[in-house]
Formats: sequence, structure tokens, C-alpha cells
Amino acid sequence: MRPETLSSLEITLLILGMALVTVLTRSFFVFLGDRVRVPELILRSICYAPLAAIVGILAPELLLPAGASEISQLDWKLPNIWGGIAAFGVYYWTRKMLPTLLVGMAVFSLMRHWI
Amino acid sequence: MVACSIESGAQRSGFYNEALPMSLYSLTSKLPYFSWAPPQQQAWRDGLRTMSGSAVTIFSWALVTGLAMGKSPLSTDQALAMSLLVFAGTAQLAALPLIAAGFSVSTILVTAFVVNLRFIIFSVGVQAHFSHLPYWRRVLLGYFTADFGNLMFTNRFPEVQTAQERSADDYYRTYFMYGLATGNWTIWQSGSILGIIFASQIPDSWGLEFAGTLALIAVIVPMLDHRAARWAALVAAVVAVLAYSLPLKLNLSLAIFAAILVGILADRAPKGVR
Repeated sequence: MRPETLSSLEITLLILGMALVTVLTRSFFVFLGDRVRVPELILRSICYAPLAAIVGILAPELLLPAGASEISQLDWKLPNIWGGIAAFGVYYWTRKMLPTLLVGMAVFSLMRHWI
Repeated sequence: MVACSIESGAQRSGFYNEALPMSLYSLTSKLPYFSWAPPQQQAWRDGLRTMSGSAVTIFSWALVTGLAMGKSPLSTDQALAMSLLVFAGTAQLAALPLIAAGFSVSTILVTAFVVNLRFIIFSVGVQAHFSHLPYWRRVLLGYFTADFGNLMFTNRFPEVQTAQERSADDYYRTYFMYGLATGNWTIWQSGSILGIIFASQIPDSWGLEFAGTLALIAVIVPMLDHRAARWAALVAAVVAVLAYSLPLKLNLSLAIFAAILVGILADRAPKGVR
């Protein structure tokens, strides 16, 4: 079915390579060290970067269909949008994880079977 | 409250050290946690506790990633090795379809690098906050500091301390970060390994992926407690969705750049707006 598969040696190299990529990116400015002086303004304003990363992972998963490739596939009938809104509401009011997941999944499943 | 708990921590660890037999004491006193001063042990526990507060979210997200790896063409051993060594969920998820399609190793590595671009931005913070640490320890700390560690650290300590401030509080933040990293790694690997092992028993129709997505809401909502954070999150969400058609998850990097711009604007705005 597949054109060609990676050999187990290639998979091993890939895993080691990806581990190196993790170190390289997560410690990128550590490797640069004192050679690069980051301005105070940037240091202060990157404090929202991690929040933006998690939001950036979450938002397309909630608003676009699974396996979507573009924004034009946004559709108000998508079950994940309604499940997401319900879960947001429940978490906002209760601050509890279990009801959030249960209500979110319930709304998601209902919408998936009805529409 | 903090000063209070530091004191009780000092008493407790002092008690344990004296109660241990001499040989055991000399052995444990060389181990990381046991060789630290009581305020540092307290900081580590604080970090671990902070990370544990989001345990369900991290566990769900890791479980979903593990399930995806278990269902992929990777063998169980390969999936476990990837989880334990790579320790970067989004890059792993991005690599799976490419492995299945038989792309070359170099193509997949470039993809992983681009998907991980956000960590380069986070590493500015790792370098700035922990510049007092030895080089290799800083590199190691960077490796263990993923999305959740960065999120919780910057949320608690947005400003970088000066060298004097650091030694004045016994490097509390460094040991707090060690605690965050320990918690993040342990919780993530538990979920990921369980997912890999049980992948074949769980049918796709359960929609568990969506539960993992919903769990992220629980870490995001508490961070939206002030105006600048809400603006940053809103802008990041809009950009991430609008730019979704870009390859290599570049929408994520764009969303972060947009949020940083919002941060700069909020910083320049009058204090009341922040």
C-alpha cells in the first residue's frame, strides 16, 4: 500500500534525530549563550508565548473538522465546536475537570449522531 | 504563607536526615533532592505540586498522543523509545503520518524542527531565567521544559530576576522549575506509555482524541485572569485558525508571534489596560 517503508535502522536514526531536534530547539538560546543579548522588552513580552502555543494547538481542533486542511472547512454544524463551547462554559462556572469532560463529550457525541 | 511552609520544610528534612543511619545518609546526601537545602527542596515540591494541579490535562493529552503512536506503523518498542527520548508531543504527532507515508528521515526531521519552532522562543526565557546555572545543566533543563512547564513558570514568574535577587531567595525559581519539569515528564510519560500499550484495545469510535483536546481548556481558562492575557489568547486563536492551511504547523508559530506583538502593545499601553 505504501510506496516504501522506513527500515528499523532508519526509524532508530529518526528517533535519535528527533530527540536531538528537541534539545536543539528547547535549548536554542542556551547554546547561543551570552553572545546574544535579548532586549528587555522582548523578554517581558514573551511571557504570553506559552499560553499562545496551547491556545494555538487547541483552537483549530475545536473549530475545524478532524483532518481539515483549511479555514474554508469551518462549519457551524461541526460537533466539536458545540462540544467545545459547552466544555468552556462548564469549566468557566465549575472549575472542575470531570464535569467539563463529561458535558463536552456528551454534547459532542449528541451532535455527531444527530446532525 | 510561603515563609511559614519553608520553615516547616526545614524542620521536616532535618528530622529525616538525623534519623537516617550514617551510611545511608552519606549515600542519599549525594542524590539531587537530598543534597539540596530545605528551601530548595520546598521549591521543588512547590513546582511538582503546581504541575500536578494540571495532571488530568497533561495525562489526557499524553494518552491521546500515545494512542496515536500505538496505532501507527511504529512497533511498540519504537513508539516507547520515541515517547521516552523525543518528549515532544506535537512533533511526534506531526511525524506519524509522514512515517506512515514513507517520507525520508531528513524530511521528517525538518518537519519536527519547524513544528518545534515555538521552543526556540521559549528558550530565550530558559537562558534569561537560569543564566546562573552551569551550561550543561541549563541545556538539560531546556530539554525537560516543554509547553506546560513554560506555561506554568511564566504565569507564576513573568519577570526575570537579577543575580542578587536570585541568590537572595536561594534560587527558589530554579528548583521550582526542576519540580515543574519532574512533574511534567512523569505525568506525560505515564499517559503516553499507557496509550501506546492499550492502543490496540481502544476503538477510534470513542472519540477520545476530542477528550484530550477538551482537557486543554482546563489549563487555558485559569490563565485568562487579566486583560492582556485574554487579548493574547484571542489573537493566538484567530491566527492559528486562519493560518491553518500553512504546512508544518507554521500556524502555531505565527499565532505565537502575534501574541508576542500583543504583549509588546499591552506593555506599552498605560498600566490600567494591563
